[in-house]
Amino acid sequence: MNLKAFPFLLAAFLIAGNGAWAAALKVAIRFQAMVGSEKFACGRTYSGIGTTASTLSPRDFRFYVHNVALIDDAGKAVPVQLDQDGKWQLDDVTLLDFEDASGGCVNGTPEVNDRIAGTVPEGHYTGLRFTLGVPFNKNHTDLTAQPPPLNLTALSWVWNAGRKFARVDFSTTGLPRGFAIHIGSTGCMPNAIKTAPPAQCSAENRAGIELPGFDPQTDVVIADLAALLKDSNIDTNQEGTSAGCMSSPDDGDCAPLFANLGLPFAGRPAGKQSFFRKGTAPESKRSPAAGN
Amino acid sequence: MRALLVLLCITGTVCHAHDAHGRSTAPVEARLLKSPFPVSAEHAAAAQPFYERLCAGCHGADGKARTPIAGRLPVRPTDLAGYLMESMRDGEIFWVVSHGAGQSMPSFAGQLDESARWELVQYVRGLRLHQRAVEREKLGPYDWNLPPGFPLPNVPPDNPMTKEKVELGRYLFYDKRLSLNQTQACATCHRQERAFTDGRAHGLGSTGELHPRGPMSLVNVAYSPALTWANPLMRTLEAQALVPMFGENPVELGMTGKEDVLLQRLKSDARYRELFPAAFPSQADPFTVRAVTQAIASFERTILSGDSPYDRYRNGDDPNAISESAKRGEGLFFSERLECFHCHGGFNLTGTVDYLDKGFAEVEFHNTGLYNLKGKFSYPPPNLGLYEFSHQQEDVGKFKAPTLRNIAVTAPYMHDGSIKTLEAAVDHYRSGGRTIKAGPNAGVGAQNLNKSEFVKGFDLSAQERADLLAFLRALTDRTLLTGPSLSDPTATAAARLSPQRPRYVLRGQVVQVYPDAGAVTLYHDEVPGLIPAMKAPNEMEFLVPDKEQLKSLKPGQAIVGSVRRQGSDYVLESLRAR
Repeated sequence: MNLKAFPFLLAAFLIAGNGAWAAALKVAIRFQAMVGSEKFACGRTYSGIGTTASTLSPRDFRFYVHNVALIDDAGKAVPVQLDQDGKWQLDDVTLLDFEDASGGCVNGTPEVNDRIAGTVPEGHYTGLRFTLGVPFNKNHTDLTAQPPPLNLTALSWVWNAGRKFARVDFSTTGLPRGFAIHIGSTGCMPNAIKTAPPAQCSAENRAGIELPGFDPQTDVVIADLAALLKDSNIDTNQEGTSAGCMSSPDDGDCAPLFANLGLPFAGRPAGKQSFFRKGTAPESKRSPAAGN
Repeated sequence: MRALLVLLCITGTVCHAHDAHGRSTAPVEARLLKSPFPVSAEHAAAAQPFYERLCAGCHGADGKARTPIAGRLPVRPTDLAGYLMESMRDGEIFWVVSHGAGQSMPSFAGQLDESARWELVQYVRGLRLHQRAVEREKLGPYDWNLPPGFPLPNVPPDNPMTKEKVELGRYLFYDKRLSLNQTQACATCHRQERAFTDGRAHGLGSTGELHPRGPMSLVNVAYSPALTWANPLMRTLEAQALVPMFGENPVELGMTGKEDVLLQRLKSDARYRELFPAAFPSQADPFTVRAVTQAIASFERTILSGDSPYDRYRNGDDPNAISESAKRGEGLFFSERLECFHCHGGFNLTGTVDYLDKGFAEVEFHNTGLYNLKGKFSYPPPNLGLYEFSHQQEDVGKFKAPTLRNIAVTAPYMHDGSIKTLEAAVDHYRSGGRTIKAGPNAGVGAQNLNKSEFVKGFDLSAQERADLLAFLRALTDRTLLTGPSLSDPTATAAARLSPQRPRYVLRGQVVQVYPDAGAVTLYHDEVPGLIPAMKAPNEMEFLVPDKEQLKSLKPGQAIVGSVRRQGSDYVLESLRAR
């Protein structure tokens, strides 16, 4: 073997082994948290929210996504290989975090993350697909033994042996002590083997999201609280249930939220989600993040 | 001869030294029989040929009763290597060998003389000791100091017990810095003197939020296969410890998202800078949430209760440790008429227990007919029991049966504290469910469709009711409620001897003084609630920590002092002549 060629062969082998040839494209799928037409920020208040036109003050806004793929011209979903940054992304999971621990966001972290970063094979992409939540094989793991971002206590759902897929907490005019939206799997029952994670959950509550026409170079994913809450009365809470919606099928406060997330609820089939939509990046052209 | 024994086993029905509740079938008096031989390998070895010829056919060479003959018997012969053997005294084993037990364990008095039977007792003991050594091998060198008759608990393989972890866990359990506003510790809601409950119907969190349910006792929690009132997913104490710290519905310790604050607080404490590395020596940075939960869980596994008067009656040498009324109550408790033991049986007087090599993970939840609301749910939300996890209507109102150990000090009762007294709890089961006449919870609980078949109601005379209550009160374990190893480690010695601590006054007469041993023997009057009277010729030994006081005592002198229990000893203080 020609020893001089060895490093090149090795490099080619490593790239090939990674499933992507040298022509891999870096992508950053950017998110923008909004409340209607206004940008989301801890410490602000937003009026005219929900069926009672309530005023809302944020306390938390974070969610996990996985199964991230771009749709190519042929309509084929091409998985995004996530950068393993040791913090926001682990294997196929990304935590998106819009709270910065300021204002009323007291349980939060100062760090924020507004993007999914990874690589796809060079190509032309015209759509985005992802799943809101943590995949089953990671959801029911011991948080004290997991790397970030699966080790956050604020996103653990320990009583239910899982995680909060999405955590959207705020106080409102009618509920100054708080309205909390915790989306996660429910109806989970154990395996016969002791200390095993739940064998199955009757309501997995993972929302599949699809944004056609999404171009990662020019577009952002808008996560709009006002759209999520537009059919909810956030000034009252159904008696005998948690304040807000903790994914219980018996909590009527969950019904409009699940509908807007495109999730089935208490026997009602899933509809079309309206929480996420495509938007144009404020600084259009090529995002500086694209090469990062 | 072997053929004869096999025949005996098959034609009879039972070769068993324990009844269905794991209690010895030998009479209580048998406990007091004493072996004429000291324990020695020679005596045990002498009995080996007898064991192999007469016993191994049914019980197996290893004592585990896994022989083909054992399998064909209506009731499997006693597992002589099993943990239940530890609650049998030598005298009881001797009695069973001599008299037989049940219907097919024959008497061997005809084949073996008395000496040979006592030697056989030693051989049988050795079978359990061998098995225990095998179990210990699996669990590591930690010395559990288990009460007699308690099996080795199951411990998660990634958190073996060490005394260093237990010590760290004890400090953490009592440390208010585990709550964000530093007002509450685990021990705030799990108080030792109340058998690790807090006397509230609903737990009260550090921010003033009420918990929908009451704090459960942590007594013998090492054996619980599922934790809290009705959570089938909560399998380990390590995972459970996260709920009060980081849970938000309701807020308990209020540490949600504040794990860094917590670890920083602990790191800044000089004592923890010693305890954490000692407990987790292989970790570069032992200050982790995982270490906190593992240490707390290790401490919780030492909260063991097996020294109640009932235990001393059952396992000890004291046939009078409980009253005649309590003995009658025991009979009622374990009767098919009252059915109590179906859900509160076994060494922990509870439905489901887990322990090393049990082989099955059983978890039971029962609806006891507390409510029968009209409408969607028969129980008042949010306390829907197992339903909260399974979302199945037949699981509404199903909760875990708690241990009845120390039940007299854990009022109020039921998941929501809705029964205030032990008497009322007994009456609830007597009537087979609770009827609420008016208000939002009105309904006839006895007619709840999910109610357990064992909650069927029973007749109980006034005397029987008093007997049953006397039995339940005999389950209160003073060693647990006052034992120093479970107490707040930072409390000063002075606080531990504070005036609110119950004081027992003892009046007696000095028999003998032992200045070197720091002890005295007395005849004495009854100390109500602590020790029965001891009259000549039986004397009782007491420790006297104050050497000067001890020196001043003379045989025959009448004295009065303050007495307290310390482990298996009694300690006399503030002595004076009377």
